[in-house]
Amino acid sequence: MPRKAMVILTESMFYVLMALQCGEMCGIDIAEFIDRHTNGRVQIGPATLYTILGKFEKEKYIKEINVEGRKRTYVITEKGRDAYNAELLRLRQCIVDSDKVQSELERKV
Amino acid sequence: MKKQYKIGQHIYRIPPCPAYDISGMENWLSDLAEEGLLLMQDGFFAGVATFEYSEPRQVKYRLEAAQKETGMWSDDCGEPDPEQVELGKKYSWEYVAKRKDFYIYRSFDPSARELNTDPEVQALALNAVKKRQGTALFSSVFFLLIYPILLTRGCLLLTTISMGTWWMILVLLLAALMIVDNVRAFIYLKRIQKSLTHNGYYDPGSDWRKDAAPYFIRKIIKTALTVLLAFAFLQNLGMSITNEKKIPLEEYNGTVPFATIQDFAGKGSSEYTMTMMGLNMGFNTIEDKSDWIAPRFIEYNEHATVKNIDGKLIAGGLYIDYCELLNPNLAKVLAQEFYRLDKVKGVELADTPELQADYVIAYFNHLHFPTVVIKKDNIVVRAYFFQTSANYTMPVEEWAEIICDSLGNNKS
Repeated sequence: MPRKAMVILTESMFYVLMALQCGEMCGIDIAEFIDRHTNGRVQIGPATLYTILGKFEKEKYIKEINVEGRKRTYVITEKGRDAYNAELLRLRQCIVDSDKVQSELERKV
Repeated sequence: MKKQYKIGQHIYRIPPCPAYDISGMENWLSDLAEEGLLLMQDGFFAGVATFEYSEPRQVKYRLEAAQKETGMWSDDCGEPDPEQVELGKKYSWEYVAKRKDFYIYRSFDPSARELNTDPEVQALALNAVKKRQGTALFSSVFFLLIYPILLTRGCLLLTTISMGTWWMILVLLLAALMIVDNVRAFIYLKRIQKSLTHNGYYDPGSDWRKDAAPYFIRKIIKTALTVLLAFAFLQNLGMSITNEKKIPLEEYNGTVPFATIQDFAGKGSSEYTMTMMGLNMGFNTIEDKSDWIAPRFIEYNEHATVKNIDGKLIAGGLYIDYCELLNPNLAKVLAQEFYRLDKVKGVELADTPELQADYVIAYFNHLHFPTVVIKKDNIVVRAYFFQTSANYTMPVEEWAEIICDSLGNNKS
């Protein structure tokens, strides 16, 4: 069964929220943040980034706080922070589960 | 032989696939770039793409689903977010043009980061296009089917006869084509979304050449029908304003197949005179039409005075809609439609005269004129006769009977 976007965040969505956890940013700042913090492993395309920003704004995960010329600055909301934390928890649980299985495998060997 | 162009020359092309065929559009534009045809900035107008001839080269084109209305009257003229365009530039993507619900970007760098890097987000982006497509489908169904039915008060047969059966068929064909196109677009977008979500791609290798011929045929038919119908509509509108199709009764050389005011006076009538003449308001005119399902359809109005053999003066205006249909079943439907149309405007039922007919109904119409609808075999007549004589008013039963008896007798 495929994942349903916005119920479970995709990797790009997760990183966008992660970037905004660190403070207010515009789209270009977010793209740079993701490049920098993933050493280029996660590359977010412009169409993907702006679709996510649009959807997040609609879902009230983020809100636009400033428009300066072409630059729009966003900030994460409480709802967005909750979504980010829920996804973080889910991912951590994945790691815990994976570690558990790995230890069992190692014990067997 | 391949056509030769000069560098910088402008070349016009009609896209061989609809805007929502993302991979078709991307491949078509890339293929043309390999032939040296580069899409110009804002190079889409009225369904035609403008290219500039330059050195043939490899160009990557990508379509992005617009998240807002892209029409000329929408916010920012429907152009993409300037910050997004700037970020695109940073990653070697240049915004070129928009076509319907999609923004077109291109990159000359084969290693440029993809515009869409998350298939699930791309699928999500298509929701906006799908929603607009759904609205377009609803509008098409409403304005092409439901609204005309409401507008004509459900009198489809009467409308068909008035318009002409072939015109009605063409209108329905155009409506069907438009609705089918909207449904196809909706289904296609749903399929792309499914493919993006399940497989992570949207069939980027699809061949636009394969579907080009059916697409062009559909487009040509639709354009031809639209032009034809627009022309016919304007011509009809002009004729209805100028009453061009109506012939003055004195100039009419044909025979009317029903009784008229002179017949109401019977044998030995005298002093027949047409009244309301020279007012240029369409009085005393006849429109004699022929159509596929109604071989004869006459709209007749006569204002006259005449004395019968007893010296009684019959005077007034007689309005008749006479229709011969292909079969009695259609005639029955039309008779009911005539009544329904008047009923909407407001009628008061009257005693139904006993006539030798299959169906008769009598009422006072919204102008309070006595009206009868008679159906006899495949003939339908709606007639109202208002009388202005000071000394005599002919009863409805009498004039309705004279009309009824005249039907099917080919009175001259």
